[in-house]
Amino acid sequence: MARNWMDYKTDAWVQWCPACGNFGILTALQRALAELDLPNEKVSIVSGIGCSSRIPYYIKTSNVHTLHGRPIPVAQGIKLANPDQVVIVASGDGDLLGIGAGHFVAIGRRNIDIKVILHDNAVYGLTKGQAAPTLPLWFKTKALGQPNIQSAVNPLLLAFASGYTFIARAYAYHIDQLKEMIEAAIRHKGTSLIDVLQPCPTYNDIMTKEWYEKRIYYLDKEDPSWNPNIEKPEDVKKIPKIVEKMMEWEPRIPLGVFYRNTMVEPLDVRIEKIMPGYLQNPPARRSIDIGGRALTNPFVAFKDRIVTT
Amino acid sequence: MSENVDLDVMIGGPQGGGIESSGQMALRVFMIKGYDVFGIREYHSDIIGAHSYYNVRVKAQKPRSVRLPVDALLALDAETIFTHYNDLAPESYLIYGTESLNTRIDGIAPMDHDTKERVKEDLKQKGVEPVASEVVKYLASTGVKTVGLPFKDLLKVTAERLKTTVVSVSKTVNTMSITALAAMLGIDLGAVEKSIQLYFAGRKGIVDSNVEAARTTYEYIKDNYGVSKPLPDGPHRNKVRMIATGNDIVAMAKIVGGVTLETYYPITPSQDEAFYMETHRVFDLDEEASRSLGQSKTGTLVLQAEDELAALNMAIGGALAGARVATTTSGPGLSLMNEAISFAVITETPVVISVWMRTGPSTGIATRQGQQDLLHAMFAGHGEALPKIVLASGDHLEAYYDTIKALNWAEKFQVPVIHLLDKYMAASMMSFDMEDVDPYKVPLERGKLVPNPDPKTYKRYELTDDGISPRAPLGTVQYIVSSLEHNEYGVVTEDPVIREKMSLKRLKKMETIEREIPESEKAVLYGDPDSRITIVSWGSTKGPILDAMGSLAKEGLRLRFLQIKTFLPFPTSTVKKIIESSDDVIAVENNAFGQMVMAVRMFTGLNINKRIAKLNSRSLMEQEIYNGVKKALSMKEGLVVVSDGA
Amino acid sequence: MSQARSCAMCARWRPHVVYPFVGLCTHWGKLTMDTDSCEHFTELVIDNRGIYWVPEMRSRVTGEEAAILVRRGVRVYLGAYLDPDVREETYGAF
Ligand SMILES: Cc1ncc(C[n+]2csc(CCOP(=O)(O)OP(=O)(O)O)c2C)c(N)n1
Ligand code: SF4
Ligand SMILES: [Mg+2]
Repeated sequence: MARNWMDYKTDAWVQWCPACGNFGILTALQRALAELDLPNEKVSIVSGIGCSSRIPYYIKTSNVHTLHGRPIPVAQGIKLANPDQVVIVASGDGDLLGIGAGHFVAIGRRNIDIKVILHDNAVYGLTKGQAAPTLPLWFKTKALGQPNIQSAVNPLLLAFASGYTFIARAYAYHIDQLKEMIEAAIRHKGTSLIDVLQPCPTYNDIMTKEWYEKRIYYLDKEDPSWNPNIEKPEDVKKIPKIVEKMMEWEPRIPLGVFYRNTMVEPLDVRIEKIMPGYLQNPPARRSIDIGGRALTNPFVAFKDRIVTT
Repeated sequence: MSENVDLDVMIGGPQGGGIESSGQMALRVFMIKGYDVFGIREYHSDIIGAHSYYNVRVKAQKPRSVRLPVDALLALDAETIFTHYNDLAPESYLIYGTESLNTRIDGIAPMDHDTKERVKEDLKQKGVEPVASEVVKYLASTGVKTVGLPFKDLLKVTAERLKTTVVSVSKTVNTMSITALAAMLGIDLGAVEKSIQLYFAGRKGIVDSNVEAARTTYEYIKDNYGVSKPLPDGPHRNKVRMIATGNDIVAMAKIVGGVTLETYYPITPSQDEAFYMETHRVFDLDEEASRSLGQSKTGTLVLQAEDELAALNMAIGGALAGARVATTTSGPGLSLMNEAISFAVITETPVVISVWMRTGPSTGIATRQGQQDLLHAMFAGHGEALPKIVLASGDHLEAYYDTIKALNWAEKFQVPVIHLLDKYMAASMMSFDMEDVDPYKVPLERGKLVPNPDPKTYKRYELTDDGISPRAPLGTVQYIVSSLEHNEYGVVTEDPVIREKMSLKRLKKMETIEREIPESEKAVLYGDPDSRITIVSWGSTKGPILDAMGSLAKEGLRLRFLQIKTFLPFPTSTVKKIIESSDDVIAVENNAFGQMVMAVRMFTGLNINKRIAKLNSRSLMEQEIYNGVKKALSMKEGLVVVSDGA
Repeated sequence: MSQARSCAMCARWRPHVVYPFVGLCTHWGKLTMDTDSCEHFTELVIDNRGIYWVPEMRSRVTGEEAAILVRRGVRVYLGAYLDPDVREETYGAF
């Protein structure tokens, strides 16, 4: 019984501006879930606060709309408690790289199997267009009162430095390519980032559809030999090239999968090593009592505090 | 007669220099002798070198506080002598290393400048030169028995007897001090040897050298100071008992109470709780559980988060997925958790937040005592973050059961529970028995957790009579959770009618909580119920208050003591009844503004016009309540500040 | 064994932070007593740019300060020895 992407639609009215790049991301995500035929309740899309963060209402899965900046911790809590759940963070650039930047970094250290979809519109949409951490220096969108005097952070490099093991960049209006990247990310076991360039026609009048489409190109189209996979120790030789591509921005912006490292243990495997039985009886499912009776007694479990007088 | 034994011992020295093992060993010696012990450590917020000390109280039955002056002071360095020479009772013992005698107070770099000047001034007035040897002489002249230990000589003898080098036994110095203390207090060598076996269990070479060091020291004391009157055996010999800190016991309760995921960001004085849980992440099941689950062990996952924002939000994520979760922190971390507390309230997510209070405001004095986060906890979270539960425990054993209850309440009422604890409990340790920590006394309850919901009818936020809805873990059925106002399905809404219903749902839930938590859990009355003099307090002041009440009762002053345990829900009727039937009411708190008094006024409209406050960040002691109550009773109204402790 | 050439006076010796009569000999890589000695004894020469440990003050000083202290008869060392078990003895701070 394969699922159709319509099975992941909700009947909520989608509250984005017409022509917002978020529509592309929404459609690609629904299609990727359908392609992978994932049961609706077994997927959790976790967002923060922002225009983009309303996406949980539009996809029929077990979602959580959290606080501004905190989707990554909440998502990790879900995944730690229930490693079988497919957990996706979908949130804004302000949310993930501004107020929540500490979590964006920390999750990479864990290589926990969570996919982060970064809605990168370079502005704070919901609060009326202030500069987001990805807005380049000196850009002055119509909505800004003064030119941007802060430089942009590079999400790909930040993710790379933090230990993400799957790093890709996509363009919101290229739904098929984005869908494929989401599927690849979900198949990858480890912390994954898809930086989705998302035009915000309402507040970002500089980085428009035209602006992007003049610059973007696909890594694997330009170079058919492009292979982002790090699967064996000698593959680290590819890294300088990968980093170079991550740094490329003007006049051309590369898209595609930059980096996929399958040599790093994901967190659940690490936990299983220090706590055997974790995967079989994870925190969300292990019994804590037998009919209300506790499973242990301090004098059984904590012998290091016993004094025999 | 062991019932008459009531000893206070202090052990002081540089942080990192053996105080901890000496303190731990001393506690075990007294326990092996058959006594109950209560010990508390005072330590500086540097890591190595600054002065820290242990206070130990020894009684036949559960001491609950420590006291000054002490019956014996074990000074592992000169700074200890300079810091505590005024804390010795007449006829008490001062045991010190002869190496420290030449130290002048000005040569002690780690000693706080202000403390130094104060001590110098005091010594000047007493006509004592600020050199350790002179202070020791002065103490001897006041009747203190001073015992100098020539550590180097004792080490040499020990080494000769073991046919080894002095260096290889050099780490037995702590054991020597403890042995000298034991010998002076009339404790037999056997008890010391047994505590060495216990403390260094499994490390044979170390046991042997420490046992030999103990023997050498014991003989030295006997030869030079004679044999002390033997301390009678206490009532708890030949038993399997435990000793644990407040941090330990809360960690134990979380594991016993079924926490499957604990997240935390390290902060004093909470980190040892998480640390203990990490150490015991895989634990043995009892026989019955092993049999019925067909396995002998299970585990609790503990994860160190990148900050407190992450710690609480991760815990919430875990709870949404169906785990029983908790986190642990102190005041600064609670500040960062505020927004997530509100998130837990609106999403009706069960989570227990253990808050180990310390001295504030701001970073304050990180390793010292304070009870300054009561109102912070009650008002934590923006936008009317209610219902929630704020619960404060009075001592270790209460903290144990309260932790399990907090876990139950969180799940039963689907609310965040803030469990207030403090540095006093975190860093103090007490002896107890198996029946004191009965894991089966409070049955584990998970409320309306539904593991297999019907997808056709399930509504996560269903409106019900008690305000509590069925809780299905994420992943069992498709629904949405939101920090925004939502309808019964969890779907966001700004509809005024639904918004009002959801507000009333939260209000109704608070009423359910108020109704279902029995009054006896909200406040407890101790002492003479008919007395018209009442102490009202909360948290760890309980021990010193109860001990002081015992002493006051012996003088004919019979009091009663109302301990407020839950501030949300507040025991309004009990507090009102007790205050209205008292002639004198005295509030006791470790904060300046009288936060509990404010809460009492808020809920009952009644004022408490006499207050005892301890503000110097040190642990409250029995004699301070004893003296403070007398002073408060002599006044019409006002604030008594008690200031003991170094 | 002459006091003047004992471990306590040797440039290669690091006294224990808490019990300065024991220390680590950096030449032999093992603990010795302050009164021990051997043929590798080395005189401590104060270097103005160095950093020194003063057990009496339980703190570190610069070479310039160390020179003044030495003239006053205070012992200074190139470093201190921290017991590897010290972790068991310390408490969390902040
Ligand atoms: C603690 C906190 N501070 C500020 C806000 C206000 N706020 C809401 S959304 C937002 C920025 C959203 O920008 P971004 O994450 O880029 O999402 P976008 O709207 O662009 O998709 C801000 C600052 C908030 N909700 N919470
Ligand atoms: S403001 Fe921008 S990001 Fe937000 S919905 Fe409108 S177009 Fe999209
Ligand atoms: Mg944005």
